[in-house]
Amino acid sequence: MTDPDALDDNVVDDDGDDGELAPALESIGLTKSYGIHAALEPLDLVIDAGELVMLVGPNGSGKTTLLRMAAGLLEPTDGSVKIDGSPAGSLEARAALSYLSDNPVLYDDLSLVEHLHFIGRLHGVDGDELEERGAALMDRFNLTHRADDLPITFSRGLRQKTSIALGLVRPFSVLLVDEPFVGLDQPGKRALTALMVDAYSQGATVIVATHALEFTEVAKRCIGLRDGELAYDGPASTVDVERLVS
Amino acid sequence: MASNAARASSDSGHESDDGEDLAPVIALRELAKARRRNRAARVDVFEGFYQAYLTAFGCGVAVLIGSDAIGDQRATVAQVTKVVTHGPGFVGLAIALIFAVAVRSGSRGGPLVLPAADVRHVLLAPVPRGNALRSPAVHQVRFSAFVGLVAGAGLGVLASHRLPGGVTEWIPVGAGVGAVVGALSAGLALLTCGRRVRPWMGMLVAVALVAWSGLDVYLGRVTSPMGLLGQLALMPIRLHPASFAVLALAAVVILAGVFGLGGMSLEQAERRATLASQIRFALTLQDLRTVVLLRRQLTQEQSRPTPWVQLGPLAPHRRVIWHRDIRGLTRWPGVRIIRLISLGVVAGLCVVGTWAGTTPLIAVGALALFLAGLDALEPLAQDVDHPDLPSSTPAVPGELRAGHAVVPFGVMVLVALIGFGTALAAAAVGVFPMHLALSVGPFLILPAALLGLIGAATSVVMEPPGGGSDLLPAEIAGIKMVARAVWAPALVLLGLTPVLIARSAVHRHMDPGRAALSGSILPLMVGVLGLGWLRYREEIHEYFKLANPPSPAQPAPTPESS
Repeated sequence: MTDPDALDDNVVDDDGDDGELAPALESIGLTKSYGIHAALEPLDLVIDAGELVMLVGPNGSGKTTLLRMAAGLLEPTDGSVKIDGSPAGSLEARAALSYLSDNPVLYDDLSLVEHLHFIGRLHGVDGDELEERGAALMDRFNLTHRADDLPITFSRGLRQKTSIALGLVRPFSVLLVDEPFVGLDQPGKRALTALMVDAYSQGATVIVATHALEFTEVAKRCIGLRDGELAYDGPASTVDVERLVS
Repeated sequence: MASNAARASSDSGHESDDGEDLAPVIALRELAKARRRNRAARVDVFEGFYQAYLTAFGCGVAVLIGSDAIGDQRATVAQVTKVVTHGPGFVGLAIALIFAVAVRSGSRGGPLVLPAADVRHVLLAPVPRGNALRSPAVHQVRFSAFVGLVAGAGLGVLASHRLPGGVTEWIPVGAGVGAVVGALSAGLALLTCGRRVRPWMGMLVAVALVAWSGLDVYLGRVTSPMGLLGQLALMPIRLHPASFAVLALAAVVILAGVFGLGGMSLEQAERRATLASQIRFALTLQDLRTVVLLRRQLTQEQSRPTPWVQLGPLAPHRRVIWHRDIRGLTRWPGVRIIRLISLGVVAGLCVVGTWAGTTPLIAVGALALFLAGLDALEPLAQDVDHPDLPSSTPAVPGELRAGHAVVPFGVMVLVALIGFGTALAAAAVGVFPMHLALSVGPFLILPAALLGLIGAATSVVMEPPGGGSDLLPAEIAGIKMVARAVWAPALVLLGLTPVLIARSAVHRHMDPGRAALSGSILPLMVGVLGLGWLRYREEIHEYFKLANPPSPAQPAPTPESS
């Protein structure tokens, strides 16, 4: 049996030396266009450290575009986005941020445990700490018996679970999650929700783009996008999410 | 904030002398090592040997056929003098075209194609990207240098057949210059990519490089680095010691490209990673159409949102297919138009080269026309991509296909005319007599255009290969697959054969114009048959099916019979 506390210390302490906290995510005039089509209109947004935010909106509203720009995978057409005060994509931002995509991307020639080992090490985790954390994550997602298998033999759901485990094995202070529940079975959904709430309770900022309406029960703040523009920003408990995503 | 990088540094204890954290770099190296080890463990040794045997066999056959096909007409003294004067400029221009493609590729995120998992896990990790990308960059330079080396050695063989100097001089020089050109083009592309040069700027630089080399050709003097490389390439006939200086410049560019790649765009890298793996898969299936579509995505070649020319509404009782095809033409991106013009020029130059005695160039010319045909036949290809669309219309499929051939044929005639214009330009600068260009060239236009179209149509309409249901031995199945791949370009090559017949007529002191005219009859007949095949394909298949009914299945052996 793995140590259940092994996942409790993967949130990076976010205190600055001067005692002031930079916003976990700050976008100023953030814009993304593809030719004449604007995927994201100029967006000004501040998400403070330690928030649990739900990002909602219909298909094509700009949720994934926003998250991918924050992760440094997409370049803004205009404006800027910062993670913990550092420009998205910079070494500091990459160290602070973990991005879980809806599309699991894995090496075909590394086993699950090798993935955890090397990706943890790339993020500065090593030794017993890495082993314990990896084992705990595999245990949570019921992947332990597949530890030595290549992901090429996995189903979509198992690949998604592996991808989530990779995102959580490393330390982070900001967790960006895009459509996390796609392809997951019920135990997987429960495990992921619990892990996101754990991360939040340890002080991480968690931003989740989802169509799962039940996530309003967990999220503290809701940001709604429509046609690339901010349509709602307020408490998740009072928002009519169904209206925002339709 | 206690950043992860700082944490990693303090935890790992791996630090360089200047305090740089080495733990992620070591992890990166070990990750690559583990992947190599795992891949090696999965390789079947006998399968590997068999592939090596097939490759060696294929290369051997290609060398034998190539050696036979290369013409051995030695250049005259006058021709050698021309090569000495204008050769470096023309070779430089060819090199400039390679560099232009490299710069253009770099401005679109090339030439590296990283695994998608590397983009997601390595480039998003707090590891200096310069470190993470150095090894793939070195691999790319090495691979490009190798390709250049092989191509240069092949061109050296060609040169040794026609120019003064033996194989022992031309092959090492060709291989050396080819390797430098290959490595330098990779270095240029990496530099452009790492500096995030915008596509329009990349295009501007590419045009400037070609224009500079074009100026060298026009002036008959070498002023560009590409021209200096041209001088190096022609070293066996004249040595210019000063031209070695270009090697220092090449080294600087290559090093700057390899070490300056940290600024690479992840957006481009991720897009290329996804598309390149799809292209590889399509290539293994010999699905040329998918390769064309994916390549367009890779180079971000999209139809224009606003057409070049606004056409009015379609009048009733007009040829709808022709109008649809013309509307498609009006939305062609500029780069596709430039590509077709370039392919026409290449085809023209290849015909000139063939006329001058380098016969294998006819295959290159045919390939250029084939590629032009694939672009011209875009509307037909779209119908084949989406069979629901044509099948939902109350029209005979063959009529739709034949209808789609008309406008593309017009496009191909324009491409062939560009080729003819190129040949006239070559004649105007004295490469060969103008009267020959005027008497032979016109008889090449129609066969080249028609068979360029039919060859491309064959490839577009052809179904994907079967899944090995015919249970042929591996070697025969391989030959069948190769034949399937070369069938369509071979048809196009037939369209250029009148130039060979005319050349042969000149050697026999006969009228080359009349020879070209009579030589164009067979290609035109094949072209017309091809059009008929396009129109009556289903009927022809049905006829052969009825003529050769499948043999009845063998009854299962009974206990008595066994």
